[in-house]
Formats: sequence, structure tokens, C-alpha cells
Amino acid sequence: MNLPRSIGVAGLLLLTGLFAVPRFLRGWESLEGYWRYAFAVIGVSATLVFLYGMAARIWHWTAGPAPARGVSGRALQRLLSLALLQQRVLRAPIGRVHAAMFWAFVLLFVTFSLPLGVLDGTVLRYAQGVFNAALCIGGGVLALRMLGVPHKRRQIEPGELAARLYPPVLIAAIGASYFGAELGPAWKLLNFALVALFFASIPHTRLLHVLAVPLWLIVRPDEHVAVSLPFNLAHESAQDIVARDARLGPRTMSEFERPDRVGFDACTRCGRCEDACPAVDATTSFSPARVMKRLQEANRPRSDTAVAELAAGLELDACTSCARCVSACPVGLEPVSAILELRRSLAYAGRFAPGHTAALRHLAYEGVMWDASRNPPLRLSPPVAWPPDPAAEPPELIYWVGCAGRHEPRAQAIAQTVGRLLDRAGIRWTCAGDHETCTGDPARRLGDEGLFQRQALRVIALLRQARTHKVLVNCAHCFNVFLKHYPALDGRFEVVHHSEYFAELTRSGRLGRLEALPRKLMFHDPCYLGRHTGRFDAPRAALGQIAGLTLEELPEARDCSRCCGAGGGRMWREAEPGAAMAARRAQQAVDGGAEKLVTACPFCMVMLEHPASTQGVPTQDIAEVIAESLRE
Amino acid sequence: MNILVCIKPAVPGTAIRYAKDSGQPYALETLRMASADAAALQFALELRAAHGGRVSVVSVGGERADEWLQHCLDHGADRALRIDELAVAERQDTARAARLIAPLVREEDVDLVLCASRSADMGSGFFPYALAAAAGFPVVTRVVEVGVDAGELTAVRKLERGWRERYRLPLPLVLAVEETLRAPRHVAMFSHDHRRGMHRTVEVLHSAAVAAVDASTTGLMAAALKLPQPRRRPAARQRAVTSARDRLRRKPAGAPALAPAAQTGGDADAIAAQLIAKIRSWLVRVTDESST
Amino acid sequence: MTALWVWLDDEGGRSPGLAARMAGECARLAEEAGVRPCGVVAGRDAAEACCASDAANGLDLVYALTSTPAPSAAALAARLAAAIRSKQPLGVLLPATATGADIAGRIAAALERGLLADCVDLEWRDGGLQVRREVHDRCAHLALSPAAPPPWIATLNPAVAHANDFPKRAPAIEELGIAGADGGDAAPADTWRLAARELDVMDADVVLAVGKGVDAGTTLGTVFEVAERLDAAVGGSREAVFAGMVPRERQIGASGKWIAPKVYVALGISGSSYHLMGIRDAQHVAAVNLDAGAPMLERAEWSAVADVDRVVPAMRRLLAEERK
Repeated sequence: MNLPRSIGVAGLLLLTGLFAVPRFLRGWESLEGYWRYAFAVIGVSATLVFLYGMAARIWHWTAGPAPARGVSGRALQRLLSLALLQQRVLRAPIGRVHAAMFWAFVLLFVTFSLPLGVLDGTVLRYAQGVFNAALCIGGGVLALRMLGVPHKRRQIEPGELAARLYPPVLIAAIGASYFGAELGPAWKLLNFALVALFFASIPHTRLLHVLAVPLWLIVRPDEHVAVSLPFNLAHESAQDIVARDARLGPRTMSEFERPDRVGFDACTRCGRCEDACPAVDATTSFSPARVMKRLQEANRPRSDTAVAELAAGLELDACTSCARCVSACPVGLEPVSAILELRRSLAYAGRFAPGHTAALRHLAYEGVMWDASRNPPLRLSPPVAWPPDPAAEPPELIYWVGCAGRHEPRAQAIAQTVGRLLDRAGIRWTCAGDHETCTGDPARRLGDEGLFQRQALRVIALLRQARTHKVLVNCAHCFNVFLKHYPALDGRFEVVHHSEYFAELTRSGRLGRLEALPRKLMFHDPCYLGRHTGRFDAPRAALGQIAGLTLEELPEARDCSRCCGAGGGRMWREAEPGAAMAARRAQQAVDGGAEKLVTACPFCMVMLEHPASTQGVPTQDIAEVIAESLRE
Repeated sequence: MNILVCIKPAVPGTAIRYAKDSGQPYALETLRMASADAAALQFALELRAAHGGRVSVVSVGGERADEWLQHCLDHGADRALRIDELAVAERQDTARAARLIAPLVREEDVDLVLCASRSADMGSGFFPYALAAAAGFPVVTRVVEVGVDAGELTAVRKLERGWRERYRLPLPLVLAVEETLRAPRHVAMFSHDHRRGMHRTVEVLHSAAVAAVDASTTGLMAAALKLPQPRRRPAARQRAVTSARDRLRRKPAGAPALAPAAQTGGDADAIAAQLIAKIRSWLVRVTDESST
Repeated sequence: MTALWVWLDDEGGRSPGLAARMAGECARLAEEAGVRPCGVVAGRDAAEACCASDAANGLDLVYALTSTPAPSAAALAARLAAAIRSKQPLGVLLPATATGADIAGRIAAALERGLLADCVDLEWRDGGLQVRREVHDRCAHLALSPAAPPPWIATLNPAVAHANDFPKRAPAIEELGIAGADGGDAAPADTWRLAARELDVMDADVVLAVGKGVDAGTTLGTVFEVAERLDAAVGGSREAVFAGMVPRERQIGASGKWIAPKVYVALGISGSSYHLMGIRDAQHVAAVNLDAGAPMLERAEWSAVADVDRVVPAMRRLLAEERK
């Protein structure tokens, strides 16, 4: 017995009955003679069409595999902020029109669903006119905008355009016909018929989002930029995983989990993800909106479409997993999670972009993405040697240098600065030195989940030797993976990013006195430190302690930070490894008149340094700025 | 087409460490599959996809090689065999390894033997010749391009400085390939291919059971690893020459410090003429140094 | 008195001076070992050509295998192996070029001996040969000696072969008249040299590298034409790769290829430290750049402050005039 399915269908019937019956009675009462029977026929058939369509959708949604998680209390919060208050919708100017329409519609819906006679004589009765006017104007404006605004990546065909225009035009017509209701029963019936058509179309058109979005907000995962865990090497062996035929990524559309299916239907194809996506401008065909559209179209009952075929031609290797689409989506969808899921499907079929093949092979063989023979590793000498002596006092923290800090020349300089600052503050720190390998993060981003978990378990086992749980990282990607991904693999560390840690050290005076540094800096938020893990203020606080320093914001900052182009494995890609994206970001700093561009992730540094410095804006890591301001 | 791919999981350069006190190099116990081995396997799999047949992978050595043979199974090889034999590596006896593999070539009715042009550790490049002699096949080494057409095979062999030779040969034969022949795939854990490979296991054969090989003449005696160091100068016949190590690095250590030479000015034509003359004089000088 | 043989071949003119250097190595080693240094060539004509040039200086005798030209390396190796069997030299030395190594491998397999391949040092110690080879990706050296009775077969890395500084003399020529024992392998159907557009930057003696200072629309094509005339390969800095001027496999620098050409010419490359890392082993460096303060000009042995977009077309014109 499929419990969600039973609940869904029962809920559907109950709610339909609850809301349709008063509406019917009202209509029945206000019409006479044959109009009455015409109304009844229209009303009943529309209800049946609606019920049939919704039941079919619910049937399809609940046919997928169930997710491991349940529904949490945060669902209510999401419903309130994203659906009811239209928080994200309102971010774009056109969103106000949608919000006005939405609220008018909700209020109308409530007033019409109330028992007869309740509203008589109240102000709401008269407000109905206002609400309908809002529907009429809002629908008209939305429809006009759809005609006027082109999309970067999607050719809107006539059929598609008609489908897009249908809901706002219908809503506008409903609003307009309300005012004709006084003219005679024919007009009244027209109004009823349009409303009936509206409900009947919900399951069959893009109006589906009015039900799918609230449902998605209830069932979606709680964490931000969620990554599914189809298997867990910490708790099961590789043989077990194969024996139970656990998926790597969904092989066919039917393997998508229930919430995913609802999510695909919740997309209204508004295109905001595409507008926000920094990779769209630097690629030929990639667009998160195209990905979502293709998934939505394939989200059909009994679909055995191979997902790898579906994902072909979407240029998924172009995604930098910066998660700006996640911040941009008005209904809380996560295109980046869908892209990561699809990359796993491609990985299952053995398809990788050329550069990614080489990078992953290198990671699988050598445990690190960099070629150690060309980029010899940095050797730091911490006060506590690795592994820390069990007899001696345990170290305060482990400095996890990260692969870039170990191998990339510019990042090595940053790592040395971090080491020097720790020494200066008198911290008893240690680092794993030559035992350090990749955290596995790039493998997860590129779809090789098994390799990620294998690497992660190695790192977790390694760091357990350290006799401390505190890990300092200076890479935003390492920070994200320690903070958000390792706990699921039983790797529980107290991870701290160097921007937070040095802010703390300077505040407590452990680093000594800071000198005034009269400079105009701009801070570039690394995606994995900002959007992914929400550390927007810590780096600014660290910089804010330096006297004389003017910290200005880049044009796209904080939540809207423009990606440098390195993440999501794009740096290892063969065609356009993110350089155009980096150049664009550097240009923003140059145009803003920055004297220095500061960042807090070695990968951002690798990408931004050259385009910025050739235009006269040097780049520095936050640790280097602090080191520079320290009085000797 | 039945293909035998011979691989040698080897200690890569990145697993060489230098002792802290003496500076002497030593090798970690890490084995890797070389890129050229992977390229050979990848090419074999492509041939199988196009022409059918079977791909077997074989290696001679201890059980540390099993991990990489399993890796080949994950990539889609039909069979992986290890001939259990340690003396080959100890005695630096490439010919012995070839003679142990030769009976397999006959048994498996192999049309094409693929291997790397040289192994990633010792890298003598002798194995393909030894195997070709033991199996009685023709051999082409340093292959960078192959085409197969109706039982005949076209192989392009890479020489120095951009020169190429094309060979047309009938099957069966031994091809020793360069790593640039094919970019190997990456097989993700738990992918389709990896799952199929997990159902297969590496077969181990004992060398004595495979063939009786007398290895008294073909081995070499090796001393311990040493630090790379310049070649001693030849008995000073006439004048001091730059050391051999420097020649390997192609930059004379004793050369005058690279002081920024006077920058040339003038119009574009004059600069162009000077640059061409300079390039030519340098090329000639290098040849002179070597031949006089 | 036994002999030490050396294979003398300039590989159809592709390796000028190689035979002379190999002869020098053979003569020196033979002197240490107290044996006769002898050259071996394919035929009488080649033997006479060697004796006429400096290639046989220091050798006592030059053997010519046979008068009929050998159809393939396999046939050549079969004849050489037959000659070795009949004359029993102490050892045979070949250059570790693609062609030399091909013959050496076949001989060693035919004679059932181990191959001392690609040696970087040969010495005579305690009455026996000891060689040194680069192993493990050049991270270490390994000393080796033949375990079997003579003859041994060794190839020497041509980069370390020292110049032949023996006085000029014409050694005797002896024809061995080996019967045309031909191996089964076919001869190469054709031999050609890659065009500049295909030539890998690792394989060329001259590398032209383009950077941001080169106009991708007009000058880039001209750079390839100039490269064609100079037998050079074309590479690029990271910026050139990002700008789509050259493909990624032609990127020179820390994250690209580390090249060691004889001549490296930087065109419009400012010379970031990453790029300079990749040309650390270049023998001669020239640079043309508009910016007089570019680090590339400091690294260069010869440099010019000029507009690449004008110098390169001028080079093309000069080279084209030469041809006429």
C-alpha cells in the first residue's frame, strides 16, 4: 500500500469537495432556468477533468522511490516565506505583478469558498471587485511581458509561447468577465466557465505550479544545495551496494525520487536561473533553465527514457555549481542539484567531458587532481609533527592545506602565510603533510560519487589520528565538504574557515596589533563560502578590523556573487575552463576602481589573479591582507 | 578479433622519495597503471566494439598487480590474467616475462598483442621486441595512430622531431603504443562498467605451469637506485665540455648567467632578419657543439 | 683481440652528426676496455660516406653488412644479428633514437640477450661494462650491467653522446656480405614530417609561442606559416589557450607542457612565472614584445621591443624571399 498516494488522493478529494461545494451552491443559487443546468454541466465536468488530471499527477509523483528523509517542521516556514509571502518572487520587479495576482487570487478563492451568506455586507464582498481588477491587470501585464522579453538560451516556439501565455491570459479574462456578470446570466455563466476552465487546466498546463510548488516546498530536502546520498560507503561495502543495485545517478526517469518529480513539475520556466547563471554567457548551449525544462518534459508516467540520453547535449560539464540558480529560483528549486544528479547519470554511463576524464583519472590514481611531478607539493613545518605524538599534549587544530595550497604555486604562498600567522599567534597546530589527499569534492561535483566517498573516508580516517576535532581550512571547497558532506560519512569535525578564524584571532589580540592599511579593497565572495555555506559576514568582519581600510562591494556581491569560473570541475574542463567567467568578474573589480581584489579561496585566486593583475588590480587572499597589516 | 593487452603496473616517478640523511632515492610500494598501458587497453576495447572478439589483459608479477588487473576488468576487459612470478623484476629480465606470455598468445588464438612502448618504471622498451620474437609475430613500436581494415593494419610510428613512418602489416602482430594513441576513459565507481567488472576476478597462473623458461642469459644485474647525477666527463681529450646531465636538461649549467642581452631595436624588417639569423645560428651551434 | 661495435647511421639525414658522436663514444669506451672500436653500417656506400666525413674518426674498422639495401628495420636487424653471430664482438652500441632502438630491440631479442636501453652513461669498470639508465620517470638512476656472456647490446641516449674529437682518419672498410636474411616485417610505406600545425611542442627543435600580444585574427595564421618555414612547432601561453588561439595540448607553462627545445621564441608573451617554469629547460630563448618591462625579455638571450604583429609578417616575407 502506497501511503503517500492514499494520502494524496484522499486529500485531493477532500479539498476539492471542501472548496468546490460552496462555489457550486453559490453558482446554482445565482442562476436560473437553463443557465443553471448549463452551469452544473460545466462545473461538474471541469471538476472531473481536474480530479482526473490531479490524480494522475499524484499517481506519478508517488510512483517514484521514496526518499530516506521525512518532512520536517521547516516545511511550514518555507511555505510561509516562499509561497504565501512570495519572498523570492518579489526580488524581480515583475514579481510584484505576480505577487499581487497571487494574493488577489488567494483572497478571492477564500471568499468564494466561504459558506453562503458569511460575506454578505462585509467589506470583503466589495473587495472582490478590487481583487478581480488585480487579476485582470496582472494577467495582462504578465502576458505582455512574456511576448516582449526574449530568453538567452531558449528558442520559444509558437506552441511553447501559447502555453506560456495561456495562464495569464486566462486569469486576465477571469478578472475582466467578473465585471460583466451584472450584464446578464450569459456573462455570469462565462465568468463561471472561465473559472471552471482555470481549475480544469491546473493539472494539464503550467498552472500546475500553483499546486506543485507548495507541495514541493513541503517535501523538498531541508539543506541548501542538497546532494542525494544513494549509497554510503561508511556503512555498507561496495559488494552490498552492487548487490542491492543502488543507483549512482538515476538511470531512467522512473528512478527519480518522489520529491524530485514534484519539483520538476513545480518549475514554471520563468528563466530566472538562466538570467542569474554566470556560466550561460561563457558557453554555447548550457543553461539551467534548459536542464529543468528537459526534465519537466520527461517527467511523465511510465517514462523509461534513459537519463544519460536526456542529459546529452545539455553541456552539463559547463556548470560551476556556484548555486546562483538556487538563490535565484523563486520557488526554491535547485537546478544545480538536478545537474549534479544528471552528472551521476552520465558517470554511470561512463560519459565525462574530455578534461574531466583526465582529472578524475588522476584523482583516482594519485589521490589528488594536480600532477605532483610538475607541481611539487609544499612542505610546511608545523609545531606539532604528524601524526601527533599520543604521549604529548594534543594540538589545538589541524591545518588542512588542501590540494591547491599544496600544489599550486600561488596558493602555496597563501598556505605559507596561513602557517606563519598561526605560528605568530602561538597556536599549537599540525598538518598532515604528505599524507594529505583530495577531500573528494571534485569527484562528487563531477558525478563520481563512489570516488568521492572513497576519498572522503580516507581523509576522515587520516584526520582521526590527529587527536583534535578542530580543522582549519583556507579553501572554500574544503570548508563546504568538511562542514556539509562529511557528517553523513561519520566525519564529524569542527571545521573553521581561515577568514572566520583569523577574524577571531585578531579580535582576541592573539595575532598582535594591526596597522592601518589605507586601501580600497573589494571582496569577492567564493561561492562555496557564501552561497553554499552562508559565510558572508565573517570575511567582511575580518577585513573590517583593519583600520583605514575601505571595503567596497563588488557589483554582484554576497548572495549574488558572480562565480570566478573554477568550481564544479569547470577549471579542469578542456573547452573554456572558466577564463571568460574569471575575466568578467575581474573586470567588475577593475571598473569599480578597486585597489585590490580580495578573496578567500585559492581556486578563486587562481582564476582571478591573471585577468585582474593584467589590468592593474592585484589579488590577495584574506590571510595575506591580514598578514600585511600586522605590525612587526 | 582477439586482443591481448600486456600491462605492467609500475612504481611511478611520484613514488620516488629521497632519504633524508643520504639523499639516496628509494621507491614507495605504490604501483600505478601507466598512461600508455591505459591507452593500449582503451584502444583494444574500441577494436572489440568495432570488430568483436575478446580482450584479455595479462601481467607478470606479484599480487600487488591484481588491483590494476581488476581495474582493467572494470574498464571492460573480458579476462585478466596474472602470471605469478617475481624473478622477472628481480633479475631485470624482460625477455623472461615475454617468454612467459608467449604461450598465452598461442593458446588464446590472439590476433593482436598490444602493450606500451616502454614501461613506466624501467622503461627500456625491450618487451615488445622480446615478445614478438618469442611469439614469432612482427612488431611495430612507438605507435601513435592505428587503422584496421580487413585483416590489414596500418600503424603510424613516431620518430624524433615530428617525423612519422607508416607501416602496413597483416595480422597477427605486436603493437607497442604511445600514450597519445588514445585518451583513456575514466570508469566511475559503481558505474555500469565498474559493476560488470566487479563480477569478474583476476586469474592467477603460476609461472612454472605456463612455460619452462631458462633465463640464464637474458637478465641484467641491477644495483640500487641512485641519485640522478651528471655523467663523468670523458678523459679530457681536448677541452672541457658541458656535463651529460646538463645536456639531458639541454641547458648548460656553466653557461653564463642569462644576463638580459641588449635589446634589439630598429624597424620590423631589421628585427625579423636578426631573429631569423639568430634562430639559425643557435640551431647550428647546437649541432656544432655535438659534432666537433 | 675482440671488438666493440657501433652502429653508424645518420637516419636518412634526419639526425645530422649522430654517427660521428656515436663513433666517438665507441672509440672512448673501446679504449677503456682495451678492445678494437669498429663501426657497422648497412652497405658499402654508407661506409664510404662515413669514412669520408668525420663520422668514423677514432674507429679501426668499418664493417659494411651487405651490398643490397635492406628493405626494413627487421631485415637490417636480422643481418646485423647474423654478423654479430659470426664475428662475436664484445658488444654493440646503438643510438637510442626511434630507429636505433628499433634495431637494437630486434637484435637483442634475436640473440637472446637483455637490452641495455637508453643509457645515459657507459663505463668500463672491473673488467666489465656498467651503464647507468634513467628510471622511474627520470626521478632516479639505476646502474646496470649485463649478466650474460658477450655480446651485449646497448643503446645510448643521443643527447649525452659526446662529440667525436678524435683526429680525422679513414679506417679500413670490410664487407661482410651477409646474405639477405629478411625479417617478416614490412618496410615503412612512407615517411614524412608533420606540418607545423600538427607538430607537438615537445618534439620540435624550434618552438614559436604566441601570447596575448599576438592578434588572433591576422598574425596567428602568419605565425604558423613562419613556423612551417623554420620547421618549428607553435605553442602558446595560458592566455593564448584561453583566447582560443592554440589548443590546450599546446599550452606551455607550469600547468601545460614543460618543453626543452633548442630554440624557443616568445611572441607577445609577457612571461608570467608559470610560463617561465615551462621553458626552464629551453637552450636558447628569444623574445619579441611591445612592453619593454616584460619579464620574458629578461629571461631571453635575445630580445626585441617591437610589435609582433609587424615583425612576424616581416619574417614571413624574408623567408619567402629566401626560398625564391
